[in-house]
Amino acid sequence: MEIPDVSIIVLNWNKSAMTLRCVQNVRDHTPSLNYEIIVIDNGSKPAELADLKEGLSRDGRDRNSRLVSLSRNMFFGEGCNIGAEAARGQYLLFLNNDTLVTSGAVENLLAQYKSLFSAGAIGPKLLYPNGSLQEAGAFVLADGTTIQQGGFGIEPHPHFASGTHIVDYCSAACLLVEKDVFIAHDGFDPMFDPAYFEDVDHCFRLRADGLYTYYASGVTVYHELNATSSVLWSRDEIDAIVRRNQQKFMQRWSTHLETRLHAPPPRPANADTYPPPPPKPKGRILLRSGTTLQDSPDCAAMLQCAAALENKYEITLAAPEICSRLRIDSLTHKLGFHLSRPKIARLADVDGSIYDHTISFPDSAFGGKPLSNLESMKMLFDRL
Amino acid sequence: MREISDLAAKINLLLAMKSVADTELARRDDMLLQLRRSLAEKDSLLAEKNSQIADLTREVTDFRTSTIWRLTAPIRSTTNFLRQLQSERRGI
Repeated sequence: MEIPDVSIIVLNWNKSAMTLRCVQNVRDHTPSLNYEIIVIDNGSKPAELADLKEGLSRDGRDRNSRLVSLSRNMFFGEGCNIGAEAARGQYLLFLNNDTLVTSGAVENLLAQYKSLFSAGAIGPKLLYPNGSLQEAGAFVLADGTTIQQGGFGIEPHPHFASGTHIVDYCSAACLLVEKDVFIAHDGFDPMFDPAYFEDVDHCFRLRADGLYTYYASGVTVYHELNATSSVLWSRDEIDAIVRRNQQKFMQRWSTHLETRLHAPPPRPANADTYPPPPPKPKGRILLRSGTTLQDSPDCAAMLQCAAALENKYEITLAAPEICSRLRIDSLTHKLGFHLSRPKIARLADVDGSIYDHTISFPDSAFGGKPLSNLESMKMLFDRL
Repeated sequence: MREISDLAAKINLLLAMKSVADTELARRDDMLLQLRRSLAEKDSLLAEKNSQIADLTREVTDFRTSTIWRLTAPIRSTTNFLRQLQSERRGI
């Protein structure tokens, strides 16, 4: 099978018709590019999922599309990370399912990305379906306020009317990046689950490494905005999520934002160097989580346990739904260590009999006794 | 090239900040214009009321200098005197 140049990652949650429209629109307007479309279904209802499968495979359309079906909603950042790891293309285009690309948009973005100096990401001009401007590149002020040029009645400076320009970020509603670069910069940080500011943070991390985010004024994409999130949450809830993530973003970047007009961009606080890989394992251990792997005390304990044991054992992390390695990397970075290459599995798919030992988090998640983890760890360390 | 790009990034940020400032300035100008309009409307209303007060004052003055007002003055004096007496009897 031919390796595609671009992997277009589209997330779906109970909006099969909209996702299929988006996929078809890409096919209709991307005639001269070798690409694949990866649809990540974030745990849609069975009927919606069936419609999506049927729609993707209709008339042999699945020749360049793949469906990754998750049993629950892993939300935006993690869905994109899973898509990135599944991608075969050298470049990734994150594309919301409520967008419609114009003719040649993907080809143009890719061509410009390749020709620009030290490009880390590139985004197009986003228009509302009625043709009014939604975003012409975006910036962040020192107080954390985001300026989506064209949005909220902000008329962009004429300088941005033509050409390609360095901006602080472009919305991941349509954002082209290079896969290796995206993964090397830890993808979208799970700290921002369920959504908002993960794209801003990623572009800032790219910038901290000398890679610029460009806004391409000559490429147009139509975007409805919040088509899925407005079903999941009320306007007030969305505002609350945005405010919460804005605070998290500011905890990481406020010093840089306050001084950046006078100083070079610093490294983010959690950018560590990786230690060398561990020696060959001598047994298999299954670590089971009762919840999706996230920033929580139980998951932190599980990851710390994995770090303590990975020098001697092959570690498999199992959770109700799989997650990306990027997510594990982000979570372990915050804890101050790095897991070399743990296996990640869905609990329902795990055959417990192949493991030498199983530890659950929390202890009682799968009917275990309290403090049983402590006994297990003592026993395993005695054995080492 | 990097220095130029870093400089371009800073210029773009400043231009974006200028757009925000211009938008805010335009919003305030608009608000100021509306406030001025509202003030002009209120001034006009005040002038109208002042004119009405002047008309009414003139009417009262005309009435108080009229013949009928002067002819009925003894009746009003008597009525006032009787009311005063009644009040004194009640101990008010």
